[in-house]
Amino acid sequence: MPARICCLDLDTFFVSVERLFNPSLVGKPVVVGGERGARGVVTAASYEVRPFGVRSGISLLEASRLAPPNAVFLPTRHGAYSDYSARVREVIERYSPEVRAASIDEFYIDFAGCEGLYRQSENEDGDAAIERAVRAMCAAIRREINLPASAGIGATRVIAKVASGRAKPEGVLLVPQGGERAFLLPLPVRKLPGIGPKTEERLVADGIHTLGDLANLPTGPLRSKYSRVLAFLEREIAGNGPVKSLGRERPAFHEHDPEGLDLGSISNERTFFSSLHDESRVLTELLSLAERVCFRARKRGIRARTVTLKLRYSDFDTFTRARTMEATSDEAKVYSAIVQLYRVAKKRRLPIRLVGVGLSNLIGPEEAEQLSLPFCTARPVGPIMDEIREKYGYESVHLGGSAGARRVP
Amino acid sequence: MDVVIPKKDLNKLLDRCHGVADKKSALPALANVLLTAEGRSLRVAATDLYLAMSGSADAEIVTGGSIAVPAKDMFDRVRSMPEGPIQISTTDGAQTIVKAVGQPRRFTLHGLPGNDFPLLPRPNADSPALEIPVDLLSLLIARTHFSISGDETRAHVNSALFEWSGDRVRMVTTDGHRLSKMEASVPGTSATATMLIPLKAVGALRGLLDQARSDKISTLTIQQSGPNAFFTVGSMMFSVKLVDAQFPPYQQVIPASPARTVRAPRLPFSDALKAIQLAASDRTGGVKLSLVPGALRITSESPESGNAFDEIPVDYNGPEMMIGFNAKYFLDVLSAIDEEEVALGLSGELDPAVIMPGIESTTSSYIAVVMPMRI
Repeated sequence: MPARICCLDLDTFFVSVERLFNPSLVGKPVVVGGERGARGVVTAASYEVRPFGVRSGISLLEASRLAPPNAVFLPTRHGAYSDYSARVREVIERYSPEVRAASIDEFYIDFAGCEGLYRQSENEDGDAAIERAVRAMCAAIRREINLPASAGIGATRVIAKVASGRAKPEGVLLVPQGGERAFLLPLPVRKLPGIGPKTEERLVADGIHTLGDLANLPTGPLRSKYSRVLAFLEREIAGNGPVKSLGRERPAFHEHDPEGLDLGSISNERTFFSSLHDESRVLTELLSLAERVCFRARKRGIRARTVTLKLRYSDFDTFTRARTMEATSDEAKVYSAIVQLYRVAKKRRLPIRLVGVGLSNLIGPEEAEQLSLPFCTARPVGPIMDEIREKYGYESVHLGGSAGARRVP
Repeated sequence: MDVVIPKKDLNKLLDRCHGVADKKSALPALANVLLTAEGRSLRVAATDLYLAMSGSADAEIVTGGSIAVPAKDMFDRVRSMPEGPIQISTTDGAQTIVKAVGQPRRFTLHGLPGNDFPLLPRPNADSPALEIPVDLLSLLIARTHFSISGDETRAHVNSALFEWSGDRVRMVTTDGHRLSKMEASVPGTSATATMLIPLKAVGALRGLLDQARSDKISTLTIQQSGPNAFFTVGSMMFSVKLVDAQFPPYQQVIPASPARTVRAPRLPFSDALKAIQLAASDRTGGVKLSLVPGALRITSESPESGNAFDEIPVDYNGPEMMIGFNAKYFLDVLSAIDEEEVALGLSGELDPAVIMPGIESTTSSYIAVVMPMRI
């Protein structure tokens, strides 16, 4: 059974959601991320401003300089985008049970074995049936949520991802089995995930512009210089890429064990659209995550003895550090342990792409609790916030130090 | 350097010093002990830049000089030497030969020149010296050290508070769940001092005091100078960089008068606790204490490890009450005091309990405060 992986990408997602809130923005150049000239980075840019060089990831200052005067700059609307992402996922799940969110606006869907479901006649080609189903899925997202989406279908995640990029805007592109070579080789080298700006620079300097140039390098020093990326490309051409499966669930806001059925662990992590350089931003996010895991722990009446910090640098180097201490569900204690772990663990000068805070070694409500000497008679703030949140929702109150952190969906 | 020194003297110095050396430091010199041969004695010193221990003993100096050698290695090698004189000699390349005089056993160690070793702090000549009996300081530490918090990130409680006011000296420690306070008078002195001595230093100080007691040295001198405190006993000097933090306001958590006080025989109480603790949860160590007329019951109930029951006779005649506690907290206190009877003061089931010696002394007072467990 051939793998049939679909990558569904929501076109200019934040801009598209903003246009739902304010339809007069349709057709206008829109930049999401903050006000013109403010600090921060662009999180989304509409197709109308892209010819000017504005794209996500550049600073707002630079974007303000490049964008035409009629461009509309909007702040990032925390929370709202995730709601739309969740609604898109609901639509997708009607078409295939195997769905992974790779980020807030990108989903991988496995259609292998679904051909039978979508065939209109006994003899119809399986690929054609899947392509029609994916078109119907994108149309449903447009019809029901009014968001544009593009999709690529292929034998591997990489092929599907590249195809979804080629399908934009609002298209569907299927790479048939055996067609991977013809699809990939004419593309510029940069289109292959894994080839970043640095590698691209080196390749171009060596006269290699397309993936075809790369694949057809004659045996020699140049070929061995790029042997790693070549091996990767060749596996993809054979439709036999290393990432055949959907990969793990990796939404921008990842909440482990949200149901809380057992004592296992509680964790939250956040991935950033653009990696964080600023340490105070990282600490703000860590406090906000500590707040969230403590809230969830108290809701279940449990305390944790082990606190874990997870960090991912912008080069995807990922690690965790843990500390075991007196059982707690108090924000101040968890945050102070996390900050200490962070100070010891953050050794490299690279920006941070993902942060996570986890609680484990959990102690249930039935377990004896050692009381503390009444040195401080002030009530801990957590339970007070819990009471407010009970009435007005999680976002109604936060610790001052977490102001500006990304919000929970 | 070339010196000859009796093994037992050198061993004693190294025993005190090697624990202070810092094996994991980024500064490799700190994993060493410094040996200095000067005049008619050999001085041994170690430091981790917070603590410093040094001491000297008479030695036969053939050639003076100094060398730093790995602390643990040197201690292990000297300890394994036969009794009798030991010769330590160095070459130009800081190679150190440790040899049993008149015997074939010898070791070679790779040392560092003595100049690479950091200078140890010294007290200012004009800083006042307070004298305290070795036994008294030992007692202050013995009755309080177990409730120092082991959490290095909370420096203000990862240390013991040592206070001297008038002729009273006091040591107080807490880990947030329990607190111990011991105070006593030092007749004929009058001083004012407040020091926060970090946990690691309290450990080193205990070793130093134990040795002083076995050497029959009765008095110790304390000097506070700059950020450091210096403890001198016999030929040894120990210094510590004091913690610069605020110890919690301990008076406010010591209950003024518990609702009920019972007297219990110390050893039977501690035996019963040890037995019942076997059945307590490994994670919490929680046991229940119940007061019923005439008896103190100690019980444990757990779905995993079953139940346990014991009781000891006490002079109680009030309403029944039950409180959960970590058995270890009680056992630490019961083994730190030596009176035959203890007074146990209890209020509500969420209120702190106090343990005191059964007999009040005129010259000293001890109190331990333990918070209950919600079981």
